[in-house]
Amino acid sequence: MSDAIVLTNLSYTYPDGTEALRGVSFRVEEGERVALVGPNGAGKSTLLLHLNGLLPGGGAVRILGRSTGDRDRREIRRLVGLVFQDPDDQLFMPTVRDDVAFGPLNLGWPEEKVREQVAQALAQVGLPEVADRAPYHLSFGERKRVALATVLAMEPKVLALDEPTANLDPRARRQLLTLLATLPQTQLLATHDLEAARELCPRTIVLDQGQVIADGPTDELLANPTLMEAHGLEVPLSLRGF
Amino acid sequence: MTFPWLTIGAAVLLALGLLYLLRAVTEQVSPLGHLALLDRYAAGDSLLHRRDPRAKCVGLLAFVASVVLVPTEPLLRPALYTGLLLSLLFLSRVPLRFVLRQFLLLVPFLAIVAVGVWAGGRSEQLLEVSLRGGLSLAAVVLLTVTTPFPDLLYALRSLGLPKLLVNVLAFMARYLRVLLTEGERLAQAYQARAVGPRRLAQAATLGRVVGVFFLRTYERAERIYLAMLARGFEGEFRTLSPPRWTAREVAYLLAFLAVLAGIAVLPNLGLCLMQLSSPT
Repeated sequence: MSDAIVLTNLSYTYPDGTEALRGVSFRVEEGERVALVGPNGAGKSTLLLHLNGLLPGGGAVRILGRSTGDRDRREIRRLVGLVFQDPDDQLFMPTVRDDVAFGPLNLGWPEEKVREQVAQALAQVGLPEVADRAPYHLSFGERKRVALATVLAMEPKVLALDEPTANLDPRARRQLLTLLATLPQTQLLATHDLEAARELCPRTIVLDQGQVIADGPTDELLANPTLMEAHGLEVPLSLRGF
Repeated sequence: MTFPWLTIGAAVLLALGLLYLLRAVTEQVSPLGHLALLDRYAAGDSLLHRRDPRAKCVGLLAFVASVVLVPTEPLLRPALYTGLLLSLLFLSRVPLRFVLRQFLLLVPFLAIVAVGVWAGGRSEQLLEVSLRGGLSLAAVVLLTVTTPFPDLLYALRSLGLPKLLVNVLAFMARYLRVLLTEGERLAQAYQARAVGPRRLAQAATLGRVVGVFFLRTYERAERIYLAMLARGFEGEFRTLSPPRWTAREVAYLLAFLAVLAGIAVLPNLGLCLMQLSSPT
């Protein structure tokens, strides 16, 4: 297995002086699903924005052997599908079809292929019938899945998901978890939903104040009350051994 | 000699956008209710709904142009135009009341123009201007209530309206709802804690609320831009190309244009047609 994501000593300071990332290093193998947990403000979202070179931090980010600092930004952005927490940030076109086509068109793919990709991506997230609807006519859960479709249409190898289950009702959450479990891509999930982390990710990384605190098997880390409580988390109910 | 097509076109199209904004703002019955109301009948399935949005836009332009350019005398002509709109409305099966309400929203603008004409000492043209303005606005309303907004944008773009303008309209339409909801949340949060009428202090707080609203809008704009970059945006908006015109659409459009020409040149024939089509 080769490495899908390699972060070496990644650091980033926001223009206002906030140190969001302080020397983060880890590697994720191809096909792995890894949960990224930690309190609010730990730097999870900032880290995700580095994966495709949106933020130019110090240190190195390599995706499938390519550096995000490369000239070939387009390829990196194709390889890494970034799904934002709020689908309203991601879906901005008048119709779902246009939105899902946005990425593939930016890649310069021919129209026929783009149309195929759109149909395929929407089918993959279980919403083949919404192509001609406007995003604001969809439910929150549907918009979340369409947001995922917009990156799937670009055939990414790595999915970086920011709070994929946040604000979803239980049914929509279940649909999304089932969907993520079936996707073959390497996945990095920034989440507060520790039950979801247990379910999807064999491995977890705890991030706090821009640093990796722990990195290991999910159940082992999440079952450690001292570690959890020191970093704004708690041992999930399913691990409390009732 | 350049003909004012472009000016007429741009004015109509801008009016379309404003109309949508206005409708969104004024129809806000409840925090979420307005979302459903906005294009309530736009997704219908009728002879009019099924037409290619480009054909509808061309038809609208032709209608407005003929209403504006052909003399309103004899008054049979405006009557025929009204009849044409009403029969299209009948075909679309959108309730008259709904359309009238949309139309009434625009009447104040018409009134301003009318007052301008009257104040300018050309009161003999008052009827003419009101008729022309009213008919044009009614046609715009008819188009907007029978066409989903994305389709309209599509049509405007493929008919050559500048990309930038279409994109601005698209973003406006897309985020209007998001921003309205955000604004509503702010307003609710404010009202939940603002007790008692202390007007001066409230004004200052309100100012801050507005400030926060702008900040949130700004932050959202930034996140949207990041999301666009994440999907490979490099400054150029690419969209799927519109479908080809079909012969059927062209035929419908030509028929509509023929009716317009008929009303323009043959008011007497129009009269005959009307007598024929209305059973005794």
